[in-house]
Amino acid sequence: MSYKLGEYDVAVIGAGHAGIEAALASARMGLKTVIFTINLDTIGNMPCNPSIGGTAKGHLVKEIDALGGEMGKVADKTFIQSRILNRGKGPAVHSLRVQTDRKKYNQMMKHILEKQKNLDIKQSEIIDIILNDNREIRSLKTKTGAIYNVKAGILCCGTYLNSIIHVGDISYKGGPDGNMPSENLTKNLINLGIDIRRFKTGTPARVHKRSIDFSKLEVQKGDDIITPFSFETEEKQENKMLCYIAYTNTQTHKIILKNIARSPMYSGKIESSGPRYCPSIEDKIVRFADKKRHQIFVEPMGLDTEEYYLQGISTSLPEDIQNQFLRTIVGFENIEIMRPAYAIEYDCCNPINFNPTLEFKNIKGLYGAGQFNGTSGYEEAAAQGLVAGINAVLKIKGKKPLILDRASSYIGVLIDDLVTKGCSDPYRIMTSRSEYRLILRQDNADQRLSPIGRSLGLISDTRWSKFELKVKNIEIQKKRLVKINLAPTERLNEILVSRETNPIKTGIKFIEILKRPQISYKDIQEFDSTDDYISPDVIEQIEIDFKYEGYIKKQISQVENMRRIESKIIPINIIYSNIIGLKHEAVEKLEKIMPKNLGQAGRIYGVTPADITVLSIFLDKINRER
Amino acid sequence: MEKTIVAIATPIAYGGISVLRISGKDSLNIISKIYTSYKGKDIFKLKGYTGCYGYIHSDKKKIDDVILFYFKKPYSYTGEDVVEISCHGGILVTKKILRLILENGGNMAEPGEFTKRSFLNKKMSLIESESVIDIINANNDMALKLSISNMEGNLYKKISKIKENLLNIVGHIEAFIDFPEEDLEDLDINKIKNDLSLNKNELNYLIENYDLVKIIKQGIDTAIIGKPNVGKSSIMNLFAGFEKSIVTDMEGTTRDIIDEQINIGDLILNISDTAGIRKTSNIIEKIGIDKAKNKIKTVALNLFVIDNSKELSIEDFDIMDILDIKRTLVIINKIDLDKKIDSDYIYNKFLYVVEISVKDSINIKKIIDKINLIFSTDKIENYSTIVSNERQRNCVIKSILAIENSIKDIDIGQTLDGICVIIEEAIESLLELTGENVNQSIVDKIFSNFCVGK
Repeated sequence: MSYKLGEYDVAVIGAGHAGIEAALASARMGLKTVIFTINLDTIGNMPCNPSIGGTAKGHLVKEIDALGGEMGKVADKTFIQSRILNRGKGPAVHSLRVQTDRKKYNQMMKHILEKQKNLDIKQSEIIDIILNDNREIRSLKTKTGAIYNVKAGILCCGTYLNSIIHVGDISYKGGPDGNMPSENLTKNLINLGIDIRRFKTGTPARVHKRSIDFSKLEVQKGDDIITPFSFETEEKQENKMLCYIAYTNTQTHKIILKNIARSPMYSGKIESSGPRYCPSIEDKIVRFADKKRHQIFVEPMGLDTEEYYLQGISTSLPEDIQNQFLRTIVGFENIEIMRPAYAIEYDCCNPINFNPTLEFKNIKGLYGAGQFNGTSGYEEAAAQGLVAGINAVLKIKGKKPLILDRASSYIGVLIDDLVTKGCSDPYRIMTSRSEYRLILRQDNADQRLSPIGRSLGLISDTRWSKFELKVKNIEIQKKRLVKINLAPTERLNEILVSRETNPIKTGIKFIEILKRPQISYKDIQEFDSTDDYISPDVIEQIEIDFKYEGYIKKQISQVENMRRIESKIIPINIIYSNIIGLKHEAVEKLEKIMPKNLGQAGRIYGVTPADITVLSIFLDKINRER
Repeated sequence: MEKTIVAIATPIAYGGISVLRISGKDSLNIISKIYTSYKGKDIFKLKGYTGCYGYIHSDKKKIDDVILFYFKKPYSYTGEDVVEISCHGGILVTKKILRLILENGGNMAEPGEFTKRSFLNKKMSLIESESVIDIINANNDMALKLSISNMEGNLYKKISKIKENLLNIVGHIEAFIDFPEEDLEDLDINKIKNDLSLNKNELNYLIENYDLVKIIKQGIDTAIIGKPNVGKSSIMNLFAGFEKSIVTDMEGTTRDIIDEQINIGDLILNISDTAGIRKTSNIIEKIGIDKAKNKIKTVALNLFVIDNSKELSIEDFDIMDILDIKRTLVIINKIDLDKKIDSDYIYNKFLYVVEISVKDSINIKKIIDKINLIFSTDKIENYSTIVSNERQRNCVIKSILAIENSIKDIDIGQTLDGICVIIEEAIESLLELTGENVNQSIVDKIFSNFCVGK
């Protein structure tokens, strides 16, 4: 029995980190939006690490914020410890990471969705997607028989599709964090012609605070000065809790190796691909056999709970073995597991099914985002959700889609990688995935993306004027500073020597001194006789712009090259098999990926430079013939 | 649709046979209109890799007896259907056949088009394609050896190894950056610097011999210099007798410089016989002498001839003053006569000396040995991976510069994110060299350098 229950412009299926951004963007851009979730209490849940950010992930959060997304703002309001990773390795790789209060984050997100204009929230499981004869999405069907007509749908179903939980030799149907799986949707997606495959991931045990001897662990403090994720966050922030570090030892490894046959990964029970960059403890021990110990970060799950998360020790070994090996760890002698570690297997789709807008190539109006697209991580999910949500709206409004290129953002890198190269294991963003990393910094995410966010209507007037002021100040101060000359005074040389850099003998430009890696603006501020107040974020930009000028110029010229090639558009009706000189493998890959331009074509695995040369000659030829 | 292209593949000159090459879909079609087999074979039924005796005709008139070779795609030089016609050499006949092919639907090949197609059809890598042009241009043994070792991918292997090393360094730094919370070993920045230097040295080694190789391929500019009547001309004639000598250019009078290109063993010498250097009031002779003195400074090799039977004169000392001893072979001629020269002085001053008699053919071969020594060709033979053209050289130099910059940046305390970008630049230059990262302009440039036939 089914019945009509409503009409929406955009329907989002799943209310995890991808679904939240998709739904908020859509509603904020003025379309009538609905978000479905199997369980209202799990909106924005963090079934794995209660943490946001990290290397390159922190960049994503900043970029989401610059485009008008929500993740950074809520993380700023709910974190309990904040740190910038990679300090000292250069501004391009500085990465903000916070420990969040998991429950607070989830409640705050739920409340934000509830308060959002144009947005309805429904606890309901979507079991089918119905298309019209043009292969356009027409409606969604819930488990209870309700039919909703929609213009666009965004699949953000995370790890819920046909998910199976494995704890050692025991396995059962189940979603993350004890939720119900979604058992009906997959087969209908397959019927729609979507390429479905199976991935796995895992999470470590949660343990009770009172069972940890913290005196035996290393303490890990947050930063003294806290940088927020969001450009809008102005209130003073402070760390509220400590994290700790523990280590495995040879005894731990011995127990794990002895029982490895009981891990479903090793017994062959799980055959699907797990994330290469987030290996389980048994994987680490087998693959890096000569390593005597592995780090475990002991992280609080929130202010109002005694649960602690053990980062770095996810496992699919049985509960009894988990107990045994954890107790070999110094400080964990009396450990009390509250939730055992588990592995989860789930259905997801091959992301080469998507256009760079994250719309399915073969289904109009249907989009996908997050773990369903083969990625791992809350930040990766949110980034895709935001882009999918924006594009669903733009399409309905008949506007030009939002496609971020690789030089614009990590979001662009992430999506381009997914739709061009696909992924063979859950995809995680990393700074090394970006070839233009010196310009894709977290500190300039606002400058890179806020103008786009503004044009989409996702950046408020207040924020926009604050942003414009910052940009203006950077320009004014830079112009002013390049004019300052410094004499080789005793005082200046004293400072230079104390910073272990060479003293000067003749006059020198202020900015030449500032360019030295060892010197900060603060070090030589006394020689800048301005009365202007220069805010820390403006100083940061000025320092980076001058210090990294050479690198940045180089990268900008690389970007120009890339954009020239990207501007060679491949016509949509191209027939690759008719192009003489293209190798069979290249034809096959190009037909499958359907790249938008020559640059994207060149990034496809199996397409060689020779193929690109042929393709480029062909494109030149048809352009000339026109 | 790709055109079917044709060109004369052998030099346009009188010779035993000439070869025309046709490549493309219509190769057989075109040739069927102007060729008839003596045994009545249907050329459309030929298997690949077969030859077929017959003749070329026009208006039922026989032009020439030829052998037709058919290479069926993809097993041909270009990867397309290729027909080669071996006709009897002679400019007129060859050009006539070419015209017939053009009239019947063939298109004149652009420079390098055969090789370009070969590259596009993945018959060869970029480095291999460049080597082909070198084979065509290499007109002596040594250069040919160098080209062949590139063809076999020695350079490719070497560059790949260095590229791999640099990737490892970047990979290590990137792991350190991307996984700051993993318990990774600390980066040893001195080790990284050291590794970078080692790879830079490897690259330096590849181009160190570049200029030498260039000289070997294009010939060593050589001047025979000395006073009048020391035997310069007879030495010149002697060289001409070593091997077939091709007179490429002859200008002016005996008082001017005469250029000849000759092969001696593995080397080509581009020899200029210069006017005898002496004090003179004759204006025309003076011009010749000034030219000779100028030549001494610009050539790669000076053969300084002196007379064993006479004492060293002011003119000899004048010449010695402007000679670069590293590029000079002193030839003491006329040792059949009584010795008056102060040879100790010569041996003390110069690195390479040989005593000969042209008249009695004494020690003539030693001249060649000494020249080989000066250009230490042994060293090159042992090192088969040599960057062999300007494009490759530029890539290597760009890569070396980037590595140097990365080391410099490490020294001034620049941060790892920037250093990584510079090392990646070094890697990109190497990728460009091996054609793994080809941009359009490079491809076009390379292929336009090819001579038409290939």
